[in-house]
Amino acid sequence: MSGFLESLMGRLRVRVWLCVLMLIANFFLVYGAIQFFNHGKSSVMYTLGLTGSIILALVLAFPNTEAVTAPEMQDPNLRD
Amino acid sequence: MGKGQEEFSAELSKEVAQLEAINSKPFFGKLAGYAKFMGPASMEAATTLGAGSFTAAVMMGASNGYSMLWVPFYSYLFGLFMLHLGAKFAIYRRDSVIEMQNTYHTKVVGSFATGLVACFLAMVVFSFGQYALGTDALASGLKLIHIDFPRKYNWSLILAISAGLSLLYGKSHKLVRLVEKSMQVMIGIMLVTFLAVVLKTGVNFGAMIKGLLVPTLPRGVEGITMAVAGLTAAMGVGDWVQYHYAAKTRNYTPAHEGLSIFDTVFGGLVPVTLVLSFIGIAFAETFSGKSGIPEKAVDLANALVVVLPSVWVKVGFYLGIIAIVVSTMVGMSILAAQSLCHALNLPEDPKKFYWKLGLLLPQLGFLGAFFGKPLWAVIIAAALQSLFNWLSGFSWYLLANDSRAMGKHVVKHYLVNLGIIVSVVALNLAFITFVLTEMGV
Repeated sequence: MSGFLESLMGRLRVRVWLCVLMLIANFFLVYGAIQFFNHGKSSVMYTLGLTGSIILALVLAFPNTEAVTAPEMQDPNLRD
Repeated sequence: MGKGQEEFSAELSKEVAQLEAINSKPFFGKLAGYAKFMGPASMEAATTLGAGSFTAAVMMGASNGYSMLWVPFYSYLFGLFMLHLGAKFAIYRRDSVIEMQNTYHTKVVGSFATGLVACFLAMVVFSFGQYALGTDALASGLKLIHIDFPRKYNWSLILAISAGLSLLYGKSHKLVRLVEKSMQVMIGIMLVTFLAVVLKTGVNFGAMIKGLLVPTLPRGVEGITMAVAGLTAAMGVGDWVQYHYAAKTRNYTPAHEGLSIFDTVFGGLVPVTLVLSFIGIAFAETFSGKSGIPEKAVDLANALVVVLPSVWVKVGFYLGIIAIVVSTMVGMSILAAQSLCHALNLPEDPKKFYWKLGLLLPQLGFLGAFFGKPLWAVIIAAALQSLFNWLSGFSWYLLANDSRAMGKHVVKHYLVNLGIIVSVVALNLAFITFVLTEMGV
């Protein structure tokens, strides 16, 4: 999972793209909840948002276990 | 190296040597050893325990009885994951979190969203409410012992103590520890005085345990809104940043990692939960389920004092509120100065004009003694926070998992990352709820 999360998709890591997806899932969750509970509309968007948010949280929680950047490439502000 | 810096290095080396010895002790030996080095979490806890959290505890206790005691507890519990990150960033980076965000996620996220919006602006604007509450408590408390010191004058006492203490911060290792100890003393005053109040109002232990540990939420949108408010109530981006800078000011090293966990639990979670629970319980016992109770927190506080039997407990209650306000003003002033420096890429130097300006700008809140809170400014600051705090949240999570920024010190535990993600999702939900509410959805 770490390899997948740290792989590049375009210029960004998959972890970053999944954060964007999380924002969208959270939007579905809140908007869907308002539509379902306050306006009596379908619960599909709410269910999708809630399920998506939970799955994404469980995926994004996987830590980064990839090999550490070579010392000469490391940020000089990093302390060991 | 100047004399001050030499002293600072010597003190730090001594502290690190002592902590290394403590870290190798068994569990209970560690706990006893860490206690004397606590501090950064007290800076954060004393700021969290402000007029806002006091008002929320009063209102929730009076309206919902014991059922909402879980809010500050769970909010702080999830916040611990972010404080852990704040300590990691302080320990393993030479720069601070705002500079890290500027480097990896642009200045919009670092200097603007975290430094200026979540910290500096919030500290300046939310100080008015502190003075409004503090001056009222000071005048009412002194009136009980027949001393007339009205609000139009007594703000100067709060200003003198809080500005005086905050101006000492950062000047030397000893003065940093002195300010931290002062915050601990003020938290101690809150604990003692509010416990005395609870002993007079009474407590239902069964209801307290249930209210503290079992979260109850209404179904639907109201439940989501309440959960979001609950998770962000006691702990926000400003609190994470404050703890980070407090740890940075103490020059935290890898030897401080165990201490930071102990400090955030026993210097942060425990006192914050206890103080806010005592307040909630006192108001739940006195007002919950009764009709015709006052609608404002200040009126509720004054009504509670009327039913307290002893004049010294009454005075103690007001003293607790004054400790809340003074310690929050100290913490807010220091965070305003630190965030201003780092947002503008200026070195933290207590001798510089801009540091003193950053420290003293929140003290403009003294005007709250005359005019109360400027609602328009509070609404703008809260709206900006709702709009931008989620950016800071994602940025903290991504930096913690970025090996370019943290090397081998990236977050290693699944559950820690999960806790961080839950805190970030709470900020997202606050942002989306705010936008949708403003759009009238």
